[in-house]
Amino acid sequence: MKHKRGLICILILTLLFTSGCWDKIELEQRVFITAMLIDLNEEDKENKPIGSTGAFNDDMPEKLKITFGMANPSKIQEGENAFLIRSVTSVNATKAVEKLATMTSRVPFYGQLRLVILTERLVRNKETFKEILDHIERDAVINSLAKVVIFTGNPEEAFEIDPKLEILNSVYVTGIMDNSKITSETTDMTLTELLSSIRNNDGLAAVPLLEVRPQDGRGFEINRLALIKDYSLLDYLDTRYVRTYKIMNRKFKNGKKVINYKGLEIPFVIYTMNREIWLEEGGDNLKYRVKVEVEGDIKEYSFEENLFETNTLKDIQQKIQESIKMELQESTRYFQNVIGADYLGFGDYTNKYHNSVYKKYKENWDESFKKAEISYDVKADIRRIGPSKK
Amino acid sequence: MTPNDDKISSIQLGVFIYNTILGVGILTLPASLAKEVEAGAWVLAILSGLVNIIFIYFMCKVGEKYSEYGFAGALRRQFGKVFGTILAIPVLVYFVVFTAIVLRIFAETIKLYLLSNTPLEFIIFPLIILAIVLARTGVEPSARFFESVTPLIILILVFLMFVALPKSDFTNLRPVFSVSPVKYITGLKSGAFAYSGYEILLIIFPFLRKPEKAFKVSSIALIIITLFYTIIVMETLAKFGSRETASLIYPTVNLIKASEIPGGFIERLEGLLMALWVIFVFTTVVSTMYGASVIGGDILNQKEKKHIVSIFLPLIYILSLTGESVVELFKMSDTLTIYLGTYTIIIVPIIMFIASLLDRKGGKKGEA
Repeated sequence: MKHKRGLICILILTLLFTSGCWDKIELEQRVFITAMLIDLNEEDKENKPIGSTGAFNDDMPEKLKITFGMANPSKIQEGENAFLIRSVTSVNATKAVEKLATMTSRVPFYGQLRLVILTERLVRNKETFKEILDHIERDAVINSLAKVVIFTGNPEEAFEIDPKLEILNSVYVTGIMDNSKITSETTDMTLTELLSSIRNNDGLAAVPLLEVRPQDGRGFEINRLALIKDYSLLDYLDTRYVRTYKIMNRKFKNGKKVINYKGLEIPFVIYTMNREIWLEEGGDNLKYRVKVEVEGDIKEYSFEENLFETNTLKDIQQKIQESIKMELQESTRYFQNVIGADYLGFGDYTNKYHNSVYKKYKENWDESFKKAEISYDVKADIRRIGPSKK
Repeated sequence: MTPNDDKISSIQLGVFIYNTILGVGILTLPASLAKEVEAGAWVLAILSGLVNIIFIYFMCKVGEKYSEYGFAGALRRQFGKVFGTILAIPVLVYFVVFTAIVLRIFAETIKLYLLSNTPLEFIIFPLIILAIVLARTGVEPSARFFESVTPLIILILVFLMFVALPKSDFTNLRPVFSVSPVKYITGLKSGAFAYSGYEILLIIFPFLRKPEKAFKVSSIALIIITLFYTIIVMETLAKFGSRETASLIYPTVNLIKASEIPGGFIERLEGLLMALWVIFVFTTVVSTMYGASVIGGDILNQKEKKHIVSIFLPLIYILSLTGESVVELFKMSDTLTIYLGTYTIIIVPIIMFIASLLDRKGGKKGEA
């Protein structure tokens, strides 16, 4: 008797736990959101009253226009009809995903997100930009390794671009960003990096800038930075200063520096970089000494000119050092005088290594940065010259 | 030959303590520490881990002396029958409420990251049932279960730690002493409780084969966990910086979410962490439920502890569903640690220790 009762109990329990699977979802029922372009919906502003009764969502101003790039995982292999682009206007991003579900046959899934594009207009609007940042951080499923860029120009234009070597434009863009490993001009940023940078620096971040290049068949390019300060767009940083930004923030992986030596333009490929900062005592203003050490190869010289010589290399080395030093100095001056905000990590360094000093200047850090005296010390080493002597 | 007497060896005790401590704290610890002392969080993680050794010492000294009486028995011996029982009741309540809150935090997190449509009740209920099945069998089978999962836990944990390493900025571990040292002391309050779970030592002594070794193995278990927790706090800080870490609820999950395996053949590693985390929580729940049953049995003068476990099922289930929102839940958890936690982990061991010094006869005399 006892056994039977136990058995019945177990059977009932099994029924209870096997019949309900609330989260079952097949791959065939999903559509992956691989990219999203978030823009302000400028047209809607005037049409609807700002103060709605609150009873219905459609009374609220639809301030966002989000374009989702979606991929159907079960059709990717076939190529055709696997991808879909849909634009949705909405009050906020979460609502946009809900709206998206009313026009796709599948469940939109954020987990495979690869690229988030924020338009310039959006980033200029501080409140909306903060909303989007919060949406990204508060979503538990979103792929926080997705890349993020700021886009200047007309979003419509971006959709018309042919993705060239890739199937999708999002892969095209993330591919360019991946190349920051091999070039010092393009930069890379993930959602996690954006959120951490903004949070830890009170709304300061340098985000890769995506642009449409007009020449030869219209394509994308990323070689500038959008500087964000106080949660909104401050300025664009020109390509020539990007390398200094990357060096100072230890984001530099690989890059080419061309120097002029005896009338020859010699490319020097830098593959190791190290930078160190010291704060020097004394004086009214902060005084920094920065040491940058680079290691690299000479990629080109001149035919029939002997490069296989210690003295020549020493000379070139000297030249490289001077040239890099000048570049760093000029760029720092640009950051101090034109941009006027500390994107070079001096504040971060001072906070971490000279906390008591930082606390003194913290309130008005940008001013202290502008006045700071920064000197550079560059050491370059040429390691290899390729397989030929002359 | 291992005698069949439901007693555990020293190694098993270490594993038991290790698995009990390793629980919900691992996901939330970096945030609560970073909130207190910013980038010094990792120092606080070490400090608060080591502070607990003091209480382990008290618990072990008392436990050793009264090893055959058990927790309630020792209290009764020291403070008389009635007063001793009254002193034991809050500890019982602590174990029950602790189990309930652990289950709820577990369910909330699983719901957030894995099973968003599954009702909370159905995440909690199967886990309670399974925990009861194991806890009913007694301390020795539970310890064996813990032993069997420990290698898996350590392996995956170490793997995840390595995966999280790239793309981190370890200068974020500075400045260590940007906040006043007073903050470190107040921070110990929330930090030290992240290591709670070893209070199971209060009740476990009657089941030890070698009570005199308990202090050594439990301290080792605690030190290993301190090491794990410190590494996780360091990695979280290095990945996010102190302010971002402090603003997250489950920074450890975010840490794993922000990590990738080079080559990218596996994505979304947080699934692996969450799956593993089920075991962390399960072992904690088994252990605290067992603790509650032992104290409950002692208070009610029941020799057979098996049935006492089941009595707590409805209570734990209902308690685990009381908190309205996550915010309230974490508040409840804080309240629990501040009052009952302080009582169980700090006050009771200390008064028992003092009483045991005064008690010349001691527990050992009974054996002679």
